[in-house]
Amino acid sequence: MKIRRWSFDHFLSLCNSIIMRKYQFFNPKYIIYLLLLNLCCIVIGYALSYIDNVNMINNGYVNSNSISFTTKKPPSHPLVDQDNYILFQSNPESPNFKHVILSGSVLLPPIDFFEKYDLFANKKKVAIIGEDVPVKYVPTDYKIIGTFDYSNSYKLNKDIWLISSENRIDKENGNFFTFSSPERDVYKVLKKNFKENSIQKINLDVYGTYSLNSNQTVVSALKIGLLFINLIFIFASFNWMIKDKYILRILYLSGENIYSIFFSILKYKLAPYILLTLSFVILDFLFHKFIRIFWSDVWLTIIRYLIVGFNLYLIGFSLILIIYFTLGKGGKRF
Amino acid sequence: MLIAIMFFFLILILVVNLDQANIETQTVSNFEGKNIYQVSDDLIDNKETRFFSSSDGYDTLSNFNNKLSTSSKFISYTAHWQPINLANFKGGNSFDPDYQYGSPPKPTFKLNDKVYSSVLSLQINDSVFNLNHIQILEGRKFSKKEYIYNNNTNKIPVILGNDYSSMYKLGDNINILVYGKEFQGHIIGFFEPSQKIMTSNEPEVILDKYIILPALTFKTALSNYLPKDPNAQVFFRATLFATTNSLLLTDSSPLEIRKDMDRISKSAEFEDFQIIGASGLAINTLVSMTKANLKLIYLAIAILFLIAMCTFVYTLYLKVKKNIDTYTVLLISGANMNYIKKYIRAEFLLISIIGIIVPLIPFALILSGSLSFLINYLFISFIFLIIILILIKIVVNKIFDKVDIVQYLKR
Repeated sequence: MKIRRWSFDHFLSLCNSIIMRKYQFFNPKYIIYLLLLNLCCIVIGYALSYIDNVNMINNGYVNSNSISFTTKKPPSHPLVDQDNYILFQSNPESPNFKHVILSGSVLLPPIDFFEKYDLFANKKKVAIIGEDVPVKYVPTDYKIIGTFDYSNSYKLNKDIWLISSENRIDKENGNFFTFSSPERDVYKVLKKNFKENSIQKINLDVYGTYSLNSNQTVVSALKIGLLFINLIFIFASFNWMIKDKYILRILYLSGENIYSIFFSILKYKLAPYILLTLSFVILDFLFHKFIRIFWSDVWLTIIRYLIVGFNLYLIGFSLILIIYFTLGKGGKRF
Repeated sequence: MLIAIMFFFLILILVVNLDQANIETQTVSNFEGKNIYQVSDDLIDNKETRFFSSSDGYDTLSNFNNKLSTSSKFISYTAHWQPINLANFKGGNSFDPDYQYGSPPKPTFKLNDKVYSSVLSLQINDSVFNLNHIQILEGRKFSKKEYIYNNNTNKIPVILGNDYSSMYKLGDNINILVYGKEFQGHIIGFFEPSQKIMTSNEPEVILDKYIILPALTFKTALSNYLPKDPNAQVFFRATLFATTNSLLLTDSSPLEIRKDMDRISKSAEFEDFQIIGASGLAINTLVSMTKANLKLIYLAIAILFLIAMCTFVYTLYLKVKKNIDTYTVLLISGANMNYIKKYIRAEFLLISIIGIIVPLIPFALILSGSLSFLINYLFISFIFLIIILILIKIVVNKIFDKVDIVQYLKR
């Protein structure tokens, strides 16, 4: 075994190779691996959102965090167009006959319109019915503009949605309400828009695919998978950072100060990763702002926070490592 | 090591899940493609009073019901929704029949020093258990004898949904009123959570909050013990109607079914009924929804699986690379290449086996799963073990080809 001796010539040659340090830092294998992990997180987020969407439609367009309630004195004018929600009002004797108030911009179930129609700029009394509903059940002052285009939901197939342009709540139409909102805290949105005097919450059973055990297990498995990927990410990025400890030491000893070391690490090592992930997050955010493909953005938002969190973790961790391997270990600087 | 454990744990979850999904699909397939007819009796108002004015009417209807249940041309499926009254019930409003629809709960009433409240209940016959793959958590289902009405006792077996398991235990007796007649319900079982059955009105009924009674049939002539009091007769009438208005599941066409029912009607001398095609559309929707769910699950599992597999293999690759120093030391001290490769393979085999066994421990304790899950899991793990071993062999060979050991040693 050769014994390395620190001679000045040796050190000079090392410095020369460090001038090529940007090539030392840049390790495509690790970057690709971490990007793949991020991709897995994103795929899981989309899968969870999609499954929740399908489950909601199968349950008659009632989400698992929708709030069902009865109230003796509903307000006649709920706040509309400040938040996003759907409110169903029905009579207990005929639960399929629903008066609907749409507020803000929400994803609607697949509807086959007879002619192009924008429900959010609605000016008349319109009705949307399910496949199994005979046309004669619809009251005559409502015009049928489409049918639900989703044949797997027996609940939707029997539904009649009556939407009018005046967003009023008429006590005659029933005292059984279901409030669904894509926001995270549904109860807060409910209190804000529906100035309730007394709400009696009802814990509705969920039907359709929500109640299938296999469906619930898949959702849990995906969540565990997400946790698993987080752990792998922390582990892999730790390995990635530690790889450069000798270079950090040498840079420090050759006279660079901490900030310039930190800056070169940022520039040469982390920059491609950070740029790619942040640009993805921004594009994804803008895309979902303008085009709604899922009912709720909760999971997608969590994934975005996760990716940004990873970035912050990498930056913070590299700073800590730099301080540890340079100042922490001290040494004679040239 | 941790990653191996997590990987096999995920495989376990996926295998269990696939089995469960298959059970669910099989359940709805029992109803798929079958024609479902509903028998609907015509006995209303005056007709009903006239029919039951003598006890012969009861016997005729009972005879008709028995022929219906024992016919070989179709499966008679009784799932009759009928709330009952439960004495001294502390369970809360969510068990009330009208709760899910938003109506206020039915008021309680007092009878014979007991306060009765209204609760959800169904009367079902034996075919419901088989066709819906109902899973019972503890206890048993009704035996064939228990579907026959016994006038000498007022004890009736009941099975409770899972939400009752915190309030009662197996073997307890509860006081119930069925169609106004007092019974002592003997609890013989509890259902697993979220069990579902099909009924004539709703394609899915979740049994968690229900009390299940057997749909009673009468083997001896009712006229022997029919009470004179018309109020007391309501029980017998309603019980007979419950079985009369059952669903018929069959492959026969409407014409064939009409012929079969004509034959039964003639031999039982009862003609006051109709055969109608019942909610076939809703059942088909349920079937297609469950099948679509299965596809979704396969997709989610495939994704998750690919992720787990890639990660596992990549971690193995990294591990081998990291340990190259150790291997070079071994090489110096006289080991030969083959020995090193065998050593690596043995190490990974050990890790994988630990990874396979560790997830089994919580599985055995918590789920007390059936043997078939275990066998499926072991089988699939074994296949993966072989795949992994092959992969390791390839990976190790590749690494050692890339890194020229001798050159490395010279450094």
